Amino acid sequence: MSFTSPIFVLFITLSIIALSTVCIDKTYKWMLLLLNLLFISSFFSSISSALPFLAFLLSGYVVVLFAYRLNMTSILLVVVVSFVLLFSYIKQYTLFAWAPQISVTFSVVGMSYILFRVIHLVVDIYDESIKKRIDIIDYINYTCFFLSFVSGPITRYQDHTEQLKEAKYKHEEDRAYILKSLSRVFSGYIKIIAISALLYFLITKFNQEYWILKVGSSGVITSCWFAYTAAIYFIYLYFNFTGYMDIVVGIGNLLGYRLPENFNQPFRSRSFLEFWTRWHMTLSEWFRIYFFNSLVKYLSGKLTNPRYMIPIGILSYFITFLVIGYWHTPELYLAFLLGLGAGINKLYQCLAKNLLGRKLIKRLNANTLYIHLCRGITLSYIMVSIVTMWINVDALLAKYNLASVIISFVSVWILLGLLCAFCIFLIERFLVLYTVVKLCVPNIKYFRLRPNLSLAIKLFIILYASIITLNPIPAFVYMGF
Amino acid sequence: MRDIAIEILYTLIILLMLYGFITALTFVLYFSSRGHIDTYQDSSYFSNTKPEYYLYGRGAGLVVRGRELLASDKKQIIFFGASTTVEGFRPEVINEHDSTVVVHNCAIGASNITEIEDVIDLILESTEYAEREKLHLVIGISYVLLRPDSELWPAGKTNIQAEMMRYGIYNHHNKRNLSNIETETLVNILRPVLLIDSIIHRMILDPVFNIALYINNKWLRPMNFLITDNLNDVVVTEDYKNYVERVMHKRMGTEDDTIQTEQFNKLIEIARKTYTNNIQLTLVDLPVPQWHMSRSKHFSHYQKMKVDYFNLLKTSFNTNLIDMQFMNDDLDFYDFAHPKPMTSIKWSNFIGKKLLINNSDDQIMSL
Repeated sequence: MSFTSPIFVLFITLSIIALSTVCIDKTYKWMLLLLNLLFISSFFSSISSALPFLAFLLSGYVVVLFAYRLNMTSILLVVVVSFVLLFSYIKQYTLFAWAPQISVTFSVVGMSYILFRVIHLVVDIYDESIKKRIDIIDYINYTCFFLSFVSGPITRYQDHTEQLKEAKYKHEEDRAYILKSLSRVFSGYIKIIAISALLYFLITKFNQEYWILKVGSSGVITSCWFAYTAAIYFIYLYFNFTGYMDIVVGIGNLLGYRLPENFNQPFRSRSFLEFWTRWHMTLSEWFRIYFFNSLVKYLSGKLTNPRYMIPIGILSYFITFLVIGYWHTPELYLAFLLGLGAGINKLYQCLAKNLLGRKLIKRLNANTLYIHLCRGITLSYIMVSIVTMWINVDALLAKYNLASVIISFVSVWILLGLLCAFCIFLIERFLVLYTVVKLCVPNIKYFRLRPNLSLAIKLFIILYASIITLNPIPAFVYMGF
Repeated sequence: MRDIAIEILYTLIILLMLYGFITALTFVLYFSSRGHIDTYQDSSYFSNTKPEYYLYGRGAGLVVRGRELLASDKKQIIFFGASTTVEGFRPEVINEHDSTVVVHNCAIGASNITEIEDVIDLILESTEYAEREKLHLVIGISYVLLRPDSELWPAGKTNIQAEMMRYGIYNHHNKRNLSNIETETLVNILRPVLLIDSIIHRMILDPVFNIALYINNKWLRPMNFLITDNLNDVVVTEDYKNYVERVMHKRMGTEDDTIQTEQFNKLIEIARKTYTNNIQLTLVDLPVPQWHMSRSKHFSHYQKMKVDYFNLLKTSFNTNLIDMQFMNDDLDFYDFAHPKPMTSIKWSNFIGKKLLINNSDDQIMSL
């Protein structure tokens, strides 16, 4: 079920009606289960194609039950690792290239997020943050909640149950809240149907073949194409993902359920590590708690000398982002680039602190030019890393030697970074001007339906974008991860 | 739940009111049309003497959605072809030679015979059988129009076919979903969408495209002679002449710079259709500048190939031919194929006399 399909709109309408009209706990639970199963079933064309998914889901519940019963960390670790290996096998990661393939065609949508939620449940049950028994229905309602099934956000079980309780009993809606939620949903659709569709068109229309035919095929031209594609693809990914988030968060709000935010102005990031606290925040938070912290704890236990703390930190960041990169795509280039980015960033932070001292670092961090440059090169590094997800790096390496590719990569990174820094500077000037102008405009008391007028205009934009485009609306990118 | 429904209802009511208001506004602003189709894009943006640009779009869009402008009980002359024909023939100038006839220019830039056939099929679809004998179809042909489908339409669909699928007027198999009247009604209902689309094109996309074109012409290709306010003043450079040879070698789809027969065969099909529908067809053999005639291998091959095809068209399908190749003064063109604005007046007067002034001996030029 695509989020941009009329069927999804109908499904959400029915969900809002159904969940608003029940308030008895048990009925609400079963109603939510029905809606979740209905939603998930839309991703499978037949029962046989759903079997791998069902097997994985039920295995997850078995692992959760083990967490209640087992006291030994080592055994629990074996159980969890087995579950992760099962996930890797079903997702057909290169680790299991040797293994026999599953003979049916099946969808892997949502499985990554089920994995994250199961591991969270196991760890929190084991350390008694979750004490109450989770029955199978609560488990399915949590791991397969239709709003966050496809691509998160990743919520903690404790927060999820709290939110469900609030949603069940809160039936009086504040008008401003409803309008804000609807506005957010419509904005999400505009981002997907209009903005990311346009950006997708720019990437696919002006692709490498187009550049070769119209502009040329020299190394410099190829680098320009690479920079162009990296920038446009990143912005496309941003609007595609934030559009999805706006839709699910907005709908959640209408249901009385507050989903956590996944983005916090990532274009303002001044460093690679800061970027990941602003982009796909729930994923970063999950990796920080359940992977990075565990890794640091483990390494610190093995290397107890305090002089190893900094290298442990750098290594842990490197490994964590290596895994994050590998989760995005089995191609190792992205994993390596993300790991390298994190490692170098941490190393820079440590060296800067030692060499420059706190006072100078504070002055530097307050310097506008420095801030913009940091933002620029952070964004450009992310851009050139992410594009390796889908361009054929092996073909580039085959055509040009490794040294040329590295030099081009670094050159594109720096030049694109300078361009990004300049663009960010311009946008910030514009926003300052906009704020000043807005303050100067008198606050006229508007008529009651002005927010509805704003919604109507957004709806018109959605209608316009849906009608005029000939290209199919681009799929939600993160659904594939 | 009730509150959510109320807010959505208010929003939908306001949307309908807004939509209705813009629809009504388009009927007030664009209450008249020129009464003919002309795909030539000039620089006047908000002129309400050209309302069909705002409502139907440009190029292929204008042809697909503006076909109601073809509804006429008068005799009609319709031009087809690629950009040379778009720029070379001005309906208003041609009409001066006979005001009892309506002249349309349905040529579309970057076309080939396949797309021309699509346009002709659309014209036939919009015209009742009894009215078809009042149509006179004129195709401006040169070797550039003979680019193979594999080169021009790699995605498998012409621009016309892509436009046909917009708004659900046609389905993916080029089968019509809506009748003429239903299409006209749909286009009227979609007026606000078409208008906004048109304004966005003119205010945002066109300036961006012009900037990209400027950068392209100034730095990336030897076309900087084109960066001028007045195309009438352009003089082609030697670098450009060499560039054209390289580009056309890639574009025409053959390694040995010959012309393939595919598009000529499509021309035969068109002639067959017009003949069976009792429609007069005229081919205008368009000129290219003298410097290009002498250098282009494609042009040479075209000159040899066309003889037999044109003879077949004349003898089997009663096709007329007007030869304009003698009008090949280099100063009349701003590049390898396109006439300057001042040249289009000359061409339009020439063709107007040939088509509209009753002198049958001058009209038909045999090979």
